[in-house]
Order: sequence, then structure tokens, then C-alpha cells
Amino acid sequence: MRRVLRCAVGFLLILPLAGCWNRIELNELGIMTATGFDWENGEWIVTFQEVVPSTMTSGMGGASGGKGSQATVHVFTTRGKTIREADSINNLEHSRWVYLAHNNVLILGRGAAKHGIQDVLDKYFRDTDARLTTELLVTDGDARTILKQFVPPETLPGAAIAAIIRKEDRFSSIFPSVNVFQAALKLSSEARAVGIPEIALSGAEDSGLESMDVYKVTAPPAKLKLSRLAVFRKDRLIGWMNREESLGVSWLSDRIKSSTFSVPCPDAGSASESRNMAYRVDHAEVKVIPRKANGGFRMIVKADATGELLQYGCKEDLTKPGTVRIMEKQVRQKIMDDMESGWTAMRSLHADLAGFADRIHRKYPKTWKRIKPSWNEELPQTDLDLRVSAKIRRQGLIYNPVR
Amino acid sequence: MKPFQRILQTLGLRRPTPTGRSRAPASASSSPALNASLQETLSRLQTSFGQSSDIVVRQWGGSGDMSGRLSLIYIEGMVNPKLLSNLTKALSEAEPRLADRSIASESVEETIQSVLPAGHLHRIETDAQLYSAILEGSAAVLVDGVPGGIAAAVPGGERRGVEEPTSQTVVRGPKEGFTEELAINLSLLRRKLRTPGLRFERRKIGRYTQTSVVIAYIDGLLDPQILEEIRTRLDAIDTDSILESGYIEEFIQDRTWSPFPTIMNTERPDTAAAALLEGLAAILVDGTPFVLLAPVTFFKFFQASEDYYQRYDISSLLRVIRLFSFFVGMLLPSLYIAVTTFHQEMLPTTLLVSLAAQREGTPLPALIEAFLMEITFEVIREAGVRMPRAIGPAISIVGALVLGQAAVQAGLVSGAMVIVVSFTAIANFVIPALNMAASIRLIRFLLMLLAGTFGLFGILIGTIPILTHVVTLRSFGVPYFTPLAPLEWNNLKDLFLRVPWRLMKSRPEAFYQQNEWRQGQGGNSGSHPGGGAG
Repeated sequence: MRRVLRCAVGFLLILPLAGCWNRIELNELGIMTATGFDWENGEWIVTFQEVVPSTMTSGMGGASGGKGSQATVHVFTTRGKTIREADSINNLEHSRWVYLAHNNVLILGRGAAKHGIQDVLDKYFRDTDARLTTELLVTDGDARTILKQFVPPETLPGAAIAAIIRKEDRFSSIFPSVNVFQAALKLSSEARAVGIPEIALSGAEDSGLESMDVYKVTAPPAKLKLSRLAVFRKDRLIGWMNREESLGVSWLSDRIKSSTFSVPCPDAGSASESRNMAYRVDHAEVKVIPRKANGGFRMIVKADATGELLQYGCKEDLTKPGTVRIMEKQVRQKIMDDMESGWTAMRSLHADLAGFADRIHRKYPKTWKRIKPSWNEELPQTDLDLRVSAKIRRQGLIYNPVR
Repeated sequence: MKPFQRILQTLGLRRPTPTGRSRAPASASSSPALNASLQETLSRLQTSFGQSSDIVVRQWGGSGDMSGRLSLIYIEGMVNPKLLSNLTKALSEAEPRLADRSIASESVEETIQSVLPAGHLHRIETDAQLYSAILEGSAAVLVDGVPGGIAAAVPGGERRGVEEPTSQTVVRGPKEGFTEELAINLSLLRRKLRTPGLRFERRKIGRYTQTSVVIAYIDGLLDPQILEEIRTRLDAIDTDSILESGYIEEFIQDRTWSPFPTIMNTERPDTAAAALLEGLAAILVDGTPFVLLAPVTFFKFFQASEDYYQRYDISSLLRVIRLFSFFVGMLLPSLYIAVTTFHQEMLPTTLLVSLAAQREGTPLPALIEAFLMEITFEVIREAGVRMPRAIGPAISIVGALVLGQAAVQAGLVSGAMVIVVSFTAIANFVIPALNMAASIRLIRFLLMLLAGTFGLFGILIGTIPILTHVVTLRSFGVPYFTPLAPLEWNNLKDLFLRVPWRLMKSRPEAFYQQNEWRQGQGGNSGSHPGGGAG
């Protein structure tokens, strides 16, 4: 028995020797909600957006700063030849650990995007702390500028931006969200191209979004929003796509989860008094099947969309069964138009965002080996065969509009 | 260690190893026989009891310094005065008939036996028997010139009546509890189990206290091997005193060096009766309302008698909640420490931020903070148990308000820690068995230390040995973790859930192998010898 007791006491005495291992208290953590990367004059400029926890609750613990008086986040920047060097330079000027596990969003400045994001991906894959599920965004300026903006009414801008992109992905699907892992996957696939949403500051530049004063006004003069799709090929930014084109790419790459758009009526009327209806895709299934055709390839795109009529401004009588068929045709046409515009943009940028290359690789592995080096030139020659069907499942609680 | 032992011996706390039982007041083997001379017997009695003032010797027919022919010996306070007065009256009436010293001793005894109005009479032959008889509340009748004597049981004295149990309460169910009086406790059991199969086996333990200890069981339900084991272990006890069943529990439990109790205690006759019906044995100890139940498994400690009185659905929910509380009570502070100091990435961002906000400005590391709060709570709790009832409200005000609220406001501890510690404390009280709850409290501190050192790995380092320890434990030969390890499918229905009675037709296999069915196997009407639960 005494031996057991000795062992137990010995064990307890050993515990402090472990020195509490790599313990780190919550108040030593600098919780980063967003990170930004810029490239300037051969140096990485890393910007962090850090939560200032004491401003986050009205709790009694510790020194409480009243909401509205102290900024909820703290943004700071460091430079270095490598990202990790820049990280470590933090230690010279910052009191807390850079803690990236709760980093929600990673913003690439234009300089960095043009330089290439290989280093960024490498850092994220190598680091045990950082998460591969961090959402990727691009900005057509400095990432640092974006990180300095508040996103009212949310208190944590980084988390809010991530929430915006995730919500957008789920309900609009215009700019499908891309996280670090997905981006790396796409860039290393056969297609070697990825589209990353752009976040931009719209409205009055240099407005009050950088100060807590923005929470005191009802309509801030500016806001952050997703505006374009940045097209990357082989880890570099090569161009941009607008919303329609991006939606088309979403269709072609089967990234539509749900999306709402206007569809012109068959009798659209004049431009000043256009008649439209609103349609929401609830479920979409897109299959892309490559076929060989006269030396090149022909991609058969089979898309099945089902959805709901959300608003109806057309003249046709919805109570008649035939009308629904007509409207479905309109929706189908609209989807095909979007796909076409997306395809046109892809062709002009030589960026295979829809991942056609992987389809071809899988179906015709031998042919693929041959055409692989010249795929980017081959891409515009590819034909698209769109076979779209759209269904209207419901039209809401009424048939015809109130007239 | 040697000097320590010597000190203990000098203090009389530890008996010198070889000499053994030395100072027991009445040791049966060496006791002189009660011979014919009453005077001698009485003087020996006075010497043995050291002229103790509560020894009463009533004499008849004596004159001058001559002792009387007839004497009645009892201890004041141990006998029932009403019964005693009947006794003296009868003896006074019979005395003239016995005055003649020439009557044969057999006929004297016969006369006495016939006139004594007490229910339970027995012959006493030796001094030791005389002493133990009067110490148990009998009155001894001795006649000068007649060897031996007769003890008439007239037990009495002030005892607490049957009241509601204070430590194990129910909303629905019998409100009576065991008392300090063994006879009452036995009758409480007997009244619940009206079967000849209910057996009581009495023995006396404790050299000074001579405490009556009774093994209660239902013949044909308790595994004979277990019964034999209990007997052996009880007989092996050699101690000065048994003042509470806790003494017995420590002497007979399977492993002394384990934080987990392998014997259950109850204050409730219904719980004890239910245990007997499942094939357990109950050990009743005179002088305490706490009855020991053995053998028990780990999960028994999470079952309350009320589980069986309430509807099965709510009982099942409550059991799941109790199990959850068990884990909360054991693990919550350590999980909190581990997650907030090592694995912050496991928390949702908003939760992390709000926890971080609360920790802002708190001076101590989470581990120390948790220890401080836990110890504070233990102090408050202990104070609540020990202090006089009238001061109770003061402690709750000071404890809850001053230590909880003010500590947070002063920025000494974080609010989240207060929540964690109080929830842990409350969860700990959900476990019906206090001894199991106490062992969890102990383990909690160890796990907190490990969590503070190694994080979640530390918790694993702590829980794996505990789990291995628990599954190797046995209670009187029954594996502690039955029916989970070894797995017994049939018994799982009364474990985390409590299925309707209709479906629990067989007894738990762990304790009993014969007489498997406790309900009719057909409908629900049959009766079986030996047990009639249903």
C-alpha cells in the first residue's frame, strides 16, 4: 500500500515539472478574426485584425470598456520577406500571441494576388495553428484597408465578413465561397484556376467606417460588399468577372445552392416599363459530360433546376396550366443566358473555372495527356452544349397579381 | 514509521501487536459462573461496573447486612419503566413463596419463570452473560442459593421514533426512515417483507461497544456464497467499537484504497427492502439509521428508490440526467481548464471571445482560479454541514453573495469560472448516493490538476486509469461495473433507463442465479416462492 501511495505522491510531484506544458491563458491570446496579405516592394505585408475582448461584453469581469467608446478590434501590420518573418516581427511590438485558430477570413490584396498566393497557401498548410477552412477573399486594393473597416451592426468585422460570404454562398451562390483548402485543391487540379470573391469598400472612400462612430449613424456612408469574382490561374490573379458572369460560372461548376434572380416576361415590355418575375432556384443539379467533337471537345451541360416563383409581374394568366410551362421556358432561357455569359468570360480569360479539364481528364485520360500542355489555348475552342430544364414548383399563395 | 507506532501505542490508539485482546471488560471465556451466593455475585458486579451509579439492584427479603433472597438487577435508562414495574410487582407477589431457602433450585426457577410477565426470558449462567443481558436492557433475576439466573427482556429507554429520513428524501414514496434502534429497524424491514424467507442473523461486534450487527437477507435470493463472504468478513472484525455502520463498511469493503464505495448505505426501509428483493444483503447496525447494502455495482449509486415509484419515462430521463451530472461533476472544471488554456480552437469564436473578455484582467491562471473556487465551495459546504442550524442563512448569504458576486466584481475570478464551479457543485448533488458523490469530488481535483498540466491529454491520462480501476473493482465478488463490464444485455434495461415494471420480469443476474423470475412469466399475476415483488 505504501508503494501505491509513494507512486501517487511521486506522480503528483512530477506534474509541476511538466511546467504546464504549452498552457496559454485566454488573456494572453490575441484572437485574430481576419488576416490580410499584401505584397509591396518585394515584401509581404501582413495585417491582422485582433479582437479586443474587453470591449465585447458588458460583463463585470476585469476592466470593462463601454461599447462605442473603444474599438472592438485592433488592426496592426508587419512586414517581412516571408510571411512567417512578418509574423515573428509581431513579437517586437505586440503584447499577445498571434492566435489564428479563430481566424475567419483571409483577405488578399491586389499586389499579393498579382504576385501569387503560393506563399500564403504554403503558410496556411504548414501552420498547425491556422485553419484551412478560413474563407478566402480578394480585394482590388490593399487588404489592410479592408481590415480596418467596421461592418455595422456586427461588432467583429472579420467574423461578419466571413458570415457574409457564407450566407451569400448559401442563398445567392453568385460568388461561391472558397476557403484556403478548396482554393489549393482547385489550383492544383487539372484546371488550375479558381475564382475567389472580391470584397470591396463601396460608397464614400475614407469615410467613417474605421471608427466606432459608424455605430452611431443609421446609414453608414460606405459599406463592405462582395462585388466581383477574382479569377486566379496558377496562383496569380489574371482578371475579374462581374456578377452575371460569376453566376454563370456557378451554374457551370455546379455551385448553385440557392439563388434568386429576375427573369423577363415573355412580353417584356419597353425598357422603361419592363415586366419581370422573380425566380428562386431551390435545387439545382448540373452535370458536365465531355464529348470529343471535330478535333476539340464538346461539353454537354445538363442542368436541372427546380424552384419557386417569388414574384410575378407578367400579364399571362397563371391559373392556366400552359402559362407555367411558358414561364419555365423563360427561366430556362435566363439560366442559359447566364451560362453563356459566364462561359464567354471564361473563354476570354482562358481560365477553366468550371473545371472542364478535370472532367476531360477523368473521361479521356489518354487524350488529356496529349492536350494538357495546351489546355489554356484549347479552352476557347471548346463547344458548349447547354441542356437546361427549369421547373416551377410553387408560385406562392396567390395565382395572379392583384390588379 | 517505528516511533510513530510507539506513539500510537502509548496513546492507546493502536494495540500492541502480539498481546491481542487484553482489556475487554467482559470476555466470555474467562468469566466466572454465577454460583449460588448472591452476595458474591453482587460484589463482583459492583467491582466490574466500578460502583456505576446507573446500576440498580433491587432486593427482597434481606435484613440488615444480609443480602436478600431475591434480587432484580438492571441498568437505569436501558429498561422500560412500565415493564419493569410489572416485573417488580410480580416478583414482590412471588417473594413470600420463595422465601423458604429449602425449596429446590429447579422449582424456584420454575416459579420465577411462571410469574415474570416479560415476553422474552432466558437463562444466564455466567457473569459475562449477566452483564451483557443487563447492558442490552434486560433485568436479571437472581435468587440467593440458586446458581444461575434469569434475564427478562424489558428493553426501553429513550429512543428517537420513526421519522422521515433526512439525507435521502423523496417526493413520492414512503416517508419513514430507519432509526437508531435496531429492533425498530428490523421491524420496519419485516413489515415490508412478510415472508418467512426474510432472515436476520445477529452478532455482536466491538469489544467495548458490543454493538449488535444484523445481516438481513432473503433466503433463496441472496447468493449463499456472498452470504458466507459477508459472514466471514464480519467475523474477522476485531475492534474496540462500532459506533456507526461506517466502521463496518470500512472493515468489510473489498478495497480500502479506492475512492469508490463498494457498499451502499441507505436510510430508507423501502430501498433496503428493494435491495433484499434483488438478492442483496443488508447489514443493520444498532445505533445508526444507516443500513449497509452489499454487494452493489457502480450504477446502483445512481438509482434512487423513487425511480421505481415514478412513471418509467420520467425515471429514465432522470437517470440520464444523473449520469450526465456525474460527468459534469467529475469533468466540467477540468474540461473548462483544458479547453481555455490549451485548446481554445475547440470553442466557437463568439464563446471564446466572451470567455476571453471575462478573463481580461483576472490575475490568476485558470487552474489556480478553479482550485480557489472549488476549495472555497468545499469550505462553504463543510461549514454548512457543521455549523449550528441557526447560523445557516448567514453562511448562504456570505457564501453566495460575497464570495460569488463580489469576487467577480472585484476582478479576482472570472464570471464563467463561477458558473462552472457552481454548476459542478449542483450537479454533484444530483447523485443520490452521497458517498459516490464524495468520491467524484475527490477525483475532480486530481483531474483538474492534470487538465491544467496537460490539457485534454491530461484528462485522458487521469480517466483511463480510473476507468481501469473501476472495472477491476469487485463488491463481494460481484464485478463493480456489471452489467456493462461484463456485459449483460438483459440487465441494461434497468441501468441508464428504467423500463416499465412489466418488462422487468427477471431479477438482476449479477447478484443472483437461482429464482430468476420476480414476476409471472405469463401475464402479470403469478406468484413465486421466496419473493413477491411486482
